[in-house]
Amino acid sequence: MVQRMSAVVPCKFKASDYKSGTKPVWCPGCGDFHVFLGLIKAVAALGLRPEDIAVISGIGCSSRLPAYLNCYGFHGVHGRALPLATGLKVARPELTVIAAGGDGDGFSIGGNHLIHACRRNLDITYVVMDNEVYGMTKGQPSPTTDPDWDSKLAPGGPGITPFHPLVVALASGANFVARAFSGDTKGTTKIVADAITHPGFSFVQILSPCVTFRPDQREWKNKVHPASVTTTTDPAQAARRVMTDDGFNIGVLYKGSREPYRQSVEDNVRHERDLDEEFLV
Amino acid sequence: MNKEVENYSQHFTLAELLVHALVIELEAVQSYKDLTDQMQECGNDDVAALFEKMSVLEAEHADKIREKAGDLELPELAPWEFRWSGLEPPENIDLAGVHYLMTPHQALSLALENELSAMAFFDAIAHDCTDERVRELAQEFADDERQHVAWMKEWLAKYPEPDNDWDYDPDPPAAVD
Amino acid sequence: MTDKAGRKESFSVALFGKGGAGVITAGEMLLAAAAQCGLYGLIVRAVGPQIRGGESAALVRISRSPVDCLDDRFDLLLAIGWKHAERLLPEINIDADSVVVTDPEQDSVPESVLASGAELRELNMKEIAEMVSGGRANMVALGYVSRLAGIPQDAINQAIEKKLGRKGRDAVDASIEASMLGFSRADDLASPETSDSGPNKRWMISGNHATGLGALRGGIRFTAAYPITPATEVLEWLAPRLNDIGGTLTQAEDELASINMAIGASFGGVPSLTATSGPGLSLMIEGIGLAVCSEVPVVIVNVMRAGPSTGIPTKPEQSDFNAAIYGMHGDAPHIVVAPNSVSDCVYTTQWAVHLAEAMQTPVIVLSDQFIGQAIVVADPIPEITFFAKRKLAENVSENFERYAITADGISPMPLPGTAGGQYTADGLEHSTRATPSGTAADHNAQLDKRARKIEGFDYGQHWADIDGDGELAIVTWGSTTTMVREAIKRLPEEISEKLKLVALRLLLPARPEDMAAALDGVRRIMVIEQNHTGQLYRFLRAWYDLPSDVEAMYRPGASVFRPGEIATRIEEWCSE
Repeated sequence: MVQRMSAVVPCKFKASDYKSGTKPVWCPGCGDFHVFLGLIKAVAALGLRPEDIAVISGIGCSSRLPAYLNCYGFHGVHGRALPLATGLKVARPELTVIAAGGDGDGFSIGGNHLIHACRRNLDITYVVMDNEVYGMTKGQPSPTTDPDWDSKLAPGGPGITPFHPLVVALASGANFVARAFSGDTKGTTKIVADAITHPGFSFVQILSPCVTFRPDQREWKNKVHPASVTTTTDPAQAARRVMTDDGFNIGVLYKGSREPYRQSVEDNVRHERDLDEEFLV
Repeated sequence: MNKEVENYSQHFTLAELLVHALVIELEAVQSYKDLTDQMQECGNDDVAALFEKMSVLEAEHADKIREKAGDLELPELAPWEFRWSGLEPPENIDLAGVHYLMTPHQALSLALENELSAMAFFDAIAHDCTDERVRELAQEFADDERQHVAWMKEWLAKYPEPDNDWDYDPDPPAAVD
Repeated sequence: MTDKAGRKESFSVALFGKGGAGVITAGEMLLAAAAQCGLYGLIVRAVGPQIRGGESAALVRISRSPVDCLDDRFDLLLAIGWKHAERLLPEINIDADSVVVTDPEQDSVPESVLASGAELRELNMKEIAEMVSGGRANMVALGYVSRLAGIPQDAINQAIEKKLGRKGRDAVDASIEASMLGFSRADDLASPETSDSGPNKRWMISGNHATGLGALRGGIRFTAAYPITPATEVLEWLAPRLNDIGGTLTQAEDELASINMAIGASFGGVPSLTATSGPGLSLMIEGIGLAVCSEVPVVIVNVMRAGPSTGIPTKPEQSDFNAAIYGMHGDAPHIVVAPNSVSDCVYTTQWAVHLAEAMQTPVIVLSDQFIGQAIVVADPIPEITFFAKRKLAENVSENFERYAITADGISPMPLPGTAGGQYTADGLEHSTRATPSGTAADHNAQLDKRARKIEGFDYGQHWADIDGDGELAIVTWGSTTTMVREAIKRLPEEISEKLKLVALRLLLPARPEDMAAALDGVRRIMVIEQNHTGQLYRFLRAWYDLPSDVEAMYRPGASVFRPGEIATRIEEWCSE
């Protein structure tokens, strides 16, 4: 795990060192470009070696991210980024493991895994690029879509309460809960760097507008605002705040102090030959 | 955070001003390079060529600033330690204005906005900063940006404004995953 | 291509452009205009990897008689610009007899196109479009290409009105004017004569929409939906229409939820369906097994794409055959059917509903990205009535047994709300009274019953489409059928009269008796399919008695078979 507590670090790496050179297929204007920028600036500022980072994703526009990075990556199946990331982190705890994806991938099919990843509290950072729509499959409602948003698959709107990721992450035991906005690269960079540095499961929801299917989200830059209060370490206080959240508070809501999950490693392991003993007649 | 932004212009050292000015140009170079790539990927060659030109120009400005800095040692700041006037460095393109069918006029308008906000950034420091030498240097930078603004306006005048249906694409998007 | 009498039978056009150019829209209008003239046709869309702004091509075929697949080559390739064309050109076969139309003001013509020897023509589409306020290059292209295809201006105008009507009068007029300018720049190429009978009623429909229609005709009134390329259109088409006819569509959080929701609704008595593609099918396999064991009807449409895993979502392949047939753990007899053309999606999906309901079992419908997303102009698809309903237990007597052993293996199903019929449907093995059971006797009895109900069913003539009665049989399935059918049409009579085409519609259960009858007198067989390992071929060898001389022709998706190469292969094979 990265032991970087001081903000000023010698920059051995430039952000561009983390780019693979593959050109993104995202539509010009997509918020994910800036999330990408924020992520590479964050890891550059932390001085992490590209080969020590693994970015794990599911399926969707945001999940294309790993291919654009010069780190290790796994573009997995829909909704299963967290289980993949979990397996990797347990096997290789020294790596910096970052799970990434969208709101459909993460909160719909991946919703169950989110809950249990938060409970498990492995030292993983999970970044969800939330654009309140299924972009890749051309515009269906996602769990964070407003109930009255009209679409072909749900004419008139889904009509059900949107998922509130920060509430669920907090309630499930995440050790760091935050929201960022792709249009605020400086803020995003700081929050992502904090998330990576903070031990345990760090959850960051990044509002990232979909220029193709949600042109109304151009308004987001006028709606986001820094949270009026500072980060709390008290889960009850965080819970009270988040229940009255307007969806556009930017900042770190909660930083907890739960010990991150570490599989215990035995020092005196018997040789397997010794196991035969029990079967001797 | 708001307070930070409001009072950013008062306290700058010479070295800090230089590193901010340099980063403005370097980020702009990268930003325009990224946009060039994006426009090439979607076949918008005219705008790609424009953004490419912009990245070359910004690289030249960056060189000038390095020269100006001379031997002065510049501080190494983490990205979140910079003191901008808004959420972003002044010359970072607002993504909300980018579109795969955007016209050269729109591209140049965005670039013009950037130069204007850079100019305003330096003007504020030239006005508010407590250190006289910093005020002078900030004024120089502001004047440079003013010149860029003038060039941008000339350049912009050469292109027609976009039609009403500039963003109309008769074909639906593709689902590739 | 010309028919045996040498007349131009069909005309194939590829329209290429980058994002914003609107080539797909132009291609669809071209097809619609052709339909207005009494012609038939087909359009397939090829795209680059970008979601927006990427290169795309409309591959259009217009014909005097119905066509279900693309030709081997294109008579005309028009490019509004050539950016990134190299990614799609391998799918667009042109030669010295083709015409290539390029805009001299746009990018230069790629080497590979020049090397083909095609005739090069210049058309300043952009410049011409600018002569009309609001005019676009794709409309100029539309006019030009339509003229070359022998389609008159008013057919074009009608297509434009229909497609752009809701954008307002100005948009329509500008497009018509631009198309007229394009039209005036063209001359006539050898193209199919328009039909004398004038514009008959034709349908313009995609396979995915046809699937939706077949489902509703069959009685589906509940759909669980999770989007996935290339099946999403089935679900989006159904969403409002189900509402209209008194049914419902519910969006699920994932495929695990979809299949289980569908099973739940069906348990309640409502015929239910879900649609997905390969990755979703893999997720649903556990749920489908539950439907097998608990004997709940459900239809699962799988619009196949190239696999394995995430594969190539935008290309067709017939490689989910094994997953559909063998995917489930345990001995889990069920039904798998496959439509063999766009129009056949209606018929086969409707049949699937009928089979599911009649036998209280899951039915997997194997469509694919080609037929799913291709749009055809075809004759109207007639209603076919299947007289089948779910066998319900309505007047429940004492000692009622939900899973009673019956002669045909199908036991009457009480719907929730039926007094006295209460039972717990289960994935656990059970007795005839629906109580969980681990005994060998019950397990054997239920396994036999579930197998017997499916094997003993009378599938009638629908199990396969059989054409011809020669001694050389060609066995195929799904979308490959369209190319094989066309290949056979092209062969000289002395060859085609030796052939018999067996296009399977029912893939599972195997039909040894029906197949034996179909192959009576057949000496040699060729199996043709679009996957890497010859999945149907190996299934046939496992389950059927075949003549000793069996040839297999198979290839993965992404390079779809063309009729010409199949015809050549068949001809070689026949003379071996």
